[in-house]
Amino acid sequence: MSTPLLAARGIVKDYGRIKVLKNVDLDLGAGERHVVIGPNGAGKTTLFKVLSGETRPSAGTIRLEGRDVTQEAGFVRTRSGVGRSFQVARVFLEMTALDNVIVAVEAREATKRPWAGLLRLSAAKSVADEATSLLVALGLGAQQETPADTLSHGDRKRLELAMNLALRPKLLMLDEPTAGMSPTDRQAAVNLIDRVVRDNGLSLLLTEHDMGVVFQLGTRISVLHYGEVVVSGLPAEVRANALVREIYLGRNAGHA
Amino acid sequence: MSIARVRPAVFLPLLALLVAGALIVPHVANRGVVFLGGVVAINVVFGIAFNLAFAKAGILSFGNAMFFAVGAYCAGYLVTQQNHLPFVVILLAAAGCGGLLALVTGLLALRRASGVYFAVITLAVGALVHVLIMKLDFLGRNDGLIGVNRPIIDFGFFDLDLARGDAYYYFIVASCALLVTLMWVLWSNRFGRSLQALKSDPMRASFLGIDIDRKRLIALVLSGSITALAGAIYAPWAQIVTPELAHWSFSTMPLLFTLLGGSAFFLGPAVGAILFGLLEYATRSLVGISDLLVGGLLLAVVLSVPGGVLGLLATLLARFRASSSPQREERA
Repeated sequence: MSTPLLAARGIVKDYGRIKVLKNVDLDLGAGERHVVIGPNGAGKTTLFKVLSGETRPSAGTIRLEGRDVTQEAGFVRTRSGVGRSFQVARVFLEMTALDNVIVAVEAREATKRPWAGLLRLSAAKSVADEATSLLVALGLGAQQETPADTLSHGDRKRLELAMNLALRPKLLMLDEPTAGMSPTDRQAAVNLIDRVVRDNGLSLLLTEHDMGVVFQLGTRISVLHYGEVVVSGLPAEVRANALVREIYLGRNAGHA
Repeated sequence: MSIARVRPAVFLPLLALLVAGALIVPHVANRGVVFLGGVVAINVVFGIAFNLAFAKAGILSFGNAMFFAVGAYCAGYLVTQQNHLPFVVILLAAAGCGGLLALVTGLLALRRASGVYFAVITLAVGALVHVLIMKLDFLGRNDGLIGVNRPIIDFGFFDLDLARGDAYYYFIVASCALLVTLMWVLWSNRFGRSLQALKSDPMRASFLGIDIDRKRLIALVLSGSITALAGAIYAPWAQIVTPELAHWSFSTMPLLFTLLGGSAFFLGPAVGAILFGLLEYATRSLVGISDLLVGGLLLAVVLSVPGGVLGLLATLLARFRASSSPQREERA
C-alpha cells in the first residue's frame, strides 16, 4: 500500500489526569472516506482537534502524506491541503456569504503569493467569480449578498463547506456535519457531501453520530470507545461486529 | 455591504474635501489656528493608525503614546544633533524605531495575551518607555528636547525650506494625506480583509490557512511605525518634544477620536480628531472648565451614540433612504 494521506500512531491526549485518548491509531488512504463513530464522550471531537492541529497530542505522531506534522500548527496543515469544519459551523458572521468565500479564496492565494495584489483594493474578478461559482454549486447562489449572521444553521454549514472547498484541499475533515439537522435536511446534507467529495476527488474524514449517515458516506469505519479504537474496518464488518453492537449500535439501533 | 468591493469614488472625494479644507485654513485664520490645524492633521493619522489595529485586527493598545513619543524623540534628537541628515532619512529612522518597539511589544505580549490583557501589557511597556525617556540625559530628561527646527528638504535641483512661512503646515497636510491613503489601502485590500477575518473568528481564520499570530504582529508593527511617523512629523511643528508625549494618558487620545467618530468607519478617527480639535478651540478661553466641558461632551457622545458620529449619520441616512424609496437600503 502506498503512503496513506493521513496516518496517526499511538495518539494519547490527556487533560490533567483525565485521559481522553489512549493510544489511537488511524489511517486514511487517498480517496478513502473514513468515519469515526462512538458514543458521547468517546473522544471523537478531541481526536478531531488533534488530527486537525487545533491541539497537540500528549504523545504519538501524525503524518500527512508521510511528513511528520505532529507539532505543526493548524494553519500550516491547512496550507498543505486539509480543510476542516466545526461542529457548530464557524463563518465570519458580519460578512456576506460571498465575502466569506472570497476571504477563503484570498487566503489560499496569499499562501502561494504573499506579496501579489496588495495594491488591488477590491477582490480580483477571478477570485469573486470563483467564490460565486462555489456558492452556486452548494446551492447558496441566491444568498450571496446575505450577511452570514442571518443565514440559517444549515446554510451556514453549507457556507463553511464552500469556504473549505475554496482552499482546494485534498482532505476534508467534517466534525458531525449533520448535527442538529432535521431528517430531511440531513439526507440533503449527506447527498451534498457525497457529491462534493466525488466531484472534487477528495478524501474524507468525519465524525458522526447518526448511523444512517455513517453507512451512507463511509467506506471505512472506526469505532471509538472511551478513547480507544475498538474496531476499524469496512462498514459491513463493523455492522456485524458483536462488540460494536453491544457498546454502540445496540443502544442506538432505534435511531438508525 | 460587501468588503470585497471597494469604492474609491466614496473615499477619494472625502479625502480631497479634508485636504481642501486644511489648505484653506492658513488663508482665513491666524497662526494659532493654523498651528491647531497642523496638530489636528497629525491627530488624524494618530487616530487612524490606532484604529487600523483596533477595528481591523482587534488589537486594543494603550501604548500608542509611546510609539508617538519614540517617533517624536527620534526626530527631535536627529534634527538637533545630526542635522546633516536629510529629513526624509530622519522620518524613516523614526518609523523604524516605532516599528521596532511595536515588534518587541508584540513578540512579548501579542501571542500570550489578547484584549484587555494585551492593553494592560502595552500600558506597562509604555510606562517603562516614559520613565526611560525621563532618565536619559541625551533625551533631555524632564525638560525634553528644545529647538527642534523645521528642516530644509534637499531635492537635489532645489531646496524646500520648511521653516519659511506656512511651508511646514503644507508639508504636514501633504504627508498626512499620503499616510491616510496608505492606511486606506491597507484597510481595504486583501490584507485588511484577512485582518477582519481573524478578528471575527480567529479559529476559522487559522483553519483557512491564515497565520493569525503573524498577521496580528504585522498589524501592530504597521500601526506603531505609522504612529511614530506622526510623532516625527509633530516634533518640528511644536519645535519642542517633552516626556508628556510618552505619558499613558496621551494613549487615550486616539481611542477617544475613534470612539467619537466611529470605529467601524475608516474615516471615523479623522472625524473624531477634527471634532475634538474644534471642541478644544471653542472652549480654549474657559480655563479650568474647558477639560470638564470636553470630557462631558465626549462622555455624552460615546454613551448615547455607541457607533460614533459617523455611525449615527449612517443610521439616519439608512432611515431616510428607507422612507424615501421602497428599495432595499444600502449603507454608503
